[in-house]
Amino acid sequence: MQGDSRAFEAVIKSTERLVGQIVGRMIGNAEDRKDIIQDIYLNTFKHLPGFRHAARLSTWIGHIAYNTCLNFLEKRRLILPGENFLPEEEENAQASNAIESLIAHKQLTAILSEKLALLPPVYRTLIVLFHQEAMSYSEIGEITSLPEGTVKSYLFRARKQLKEHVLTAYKKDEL
Amino acid sequence: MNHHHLSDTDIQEYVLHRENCRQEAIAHLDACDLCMRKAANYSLLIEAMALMPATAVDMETTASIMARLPAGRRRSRRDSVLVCLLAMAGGVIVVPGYLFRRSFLQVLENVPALLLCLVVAASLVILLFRGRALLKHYQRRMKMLEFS
Repeated sequence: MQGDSRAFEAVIKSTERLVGQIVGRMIGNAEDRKDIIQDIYLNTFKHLPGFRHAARLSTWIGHIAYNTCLNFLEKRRLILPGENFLPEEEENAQASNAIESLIAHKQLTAILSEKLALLPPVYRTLIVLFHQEAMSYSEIGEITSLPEGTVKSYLFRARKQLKEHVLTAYKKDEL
Repeated sequence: MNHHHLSDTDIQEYVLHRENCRQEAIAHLDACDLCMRKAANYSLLIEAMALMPATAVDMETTASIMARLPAGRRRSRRDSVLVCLLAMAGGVIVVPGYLFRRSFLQVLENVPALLLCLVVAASLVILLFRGRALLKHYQRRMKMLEFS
């Protein structure tokens, strides 16, 4: 497979969804996303001879994608978890109102996509890898280099923040 | 029943991995409307998250990546050296084998048939095991590459 462009096209095809998901959720600007995706695959091609089959190819490429995005965000000094979390809102009875009843006539998935963008980039990526790509905590840990326990706890916080964003937004709409 | 409401972490654990949830937490949820509503909210969110549209790489990007790949990598020097060594090793075995073929045949004629059978059988067994190991190694790699 080393150096074989056709085989590499197959690699792109089999991983483009995962890479698209990671980059799409971590990087906001569409032009930046294009450049980053190109960098990811060019780096993958360059380092493919060093791939030792210790992990799945997609996980390895996912790891490259995640690190490339992190480096980009760090250069731009954008928010990363641990540095500048969004404030967690206090528990209140309002938060327990059923989301279904609040947004009965709206597309919940579209709303979620919008509210997901309010979370820190790493949270967005974890949500997408776990809930959309159906990856296990350990696979996500391999991609993000985070311990499984940290992945799990970040996911708990991310879901809580997301739920609060959805509820808060629709409380405001109602007022 | 525990009268303290469950934390969001407990409720999420209940929705996602009920089998890992503490018995007291399950008992509380069964009896508490507020916590059960929160669990219903999380269930709904989690279902919706799986249905969100994926952000994909567009075809244009794939084409531009392919266009930017270095055209055909040269065979590495290590590969060339390996091919030369194999050719030399082949030559070392084949040329004397051809030149001294009669002597070799005489030696083989003098070897007892039973010993010859043993050598051939042992070689076949070794080949079989090596072949099986190679096949497994190949299948494992293909699985890692997700082409199978």
